[in-house]
Amino acid sequence: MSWISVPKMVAAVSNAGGLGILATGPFNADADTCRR
Amino acid sequence: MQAIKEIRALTDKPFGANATLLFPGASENAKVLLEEKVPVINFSLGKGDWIVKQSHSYGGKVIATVVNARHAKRAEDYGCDGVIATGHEAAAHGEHVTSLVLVPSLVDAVKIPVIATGGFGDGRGLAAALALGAEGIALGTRFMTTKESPLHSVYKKLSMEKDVEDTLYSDQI
Repeated sequence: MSWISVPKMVAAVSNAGGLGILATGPFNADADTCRR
Repeated sequence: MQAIKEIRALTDKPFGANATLLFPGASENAKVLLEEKVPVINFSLGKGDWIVKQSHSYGGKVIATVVNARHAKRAEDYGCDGVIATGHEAAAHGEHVTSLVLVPSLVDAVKIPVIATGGFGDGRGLAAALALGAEGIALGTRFMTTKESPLHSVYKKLSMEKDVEDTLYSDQI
């Protein structure tokens, strides 16, 4: 579900009573500015 | 990490994140998930024993996506809290064994919970999965046509118009 399981989808599924699962495929941890 | 912050702003319910360990950068992403104490991590296509150890240290859960009993047993040995049994019907991820056959075989192979995926799209599918011994189902395709799905509206429209015989198969990864 790369590019499809985005945060708002994940949250919507969890809010509906399921377990939303974020697809991390598109992410790049090294480029993650939050960490720095 | 930004994505995780966004999720936490939108829900206080449990959520998960995946890690397809075969792909470059996936282990780095998994480390971020662990740092962020993501409640559930779902890994696949790789050795996730280190993820289980670290996740359990903060009370997290780990689920392994598998396609056969060998991988399911290995996941159980790692200490995984459950496995997702991926049948042939699953878009992009299934192997050659169909869900109807795969699910009970994995239920027999491991003691940890088995979540069925591949072809399950509604309450009937859930009832079927439970009858086969699964504890629940995972859905992918079913969510592609939701409001929150970022897919193009034309795709969503076509997707809803097409029928069960219109599935296209590809060898592309």
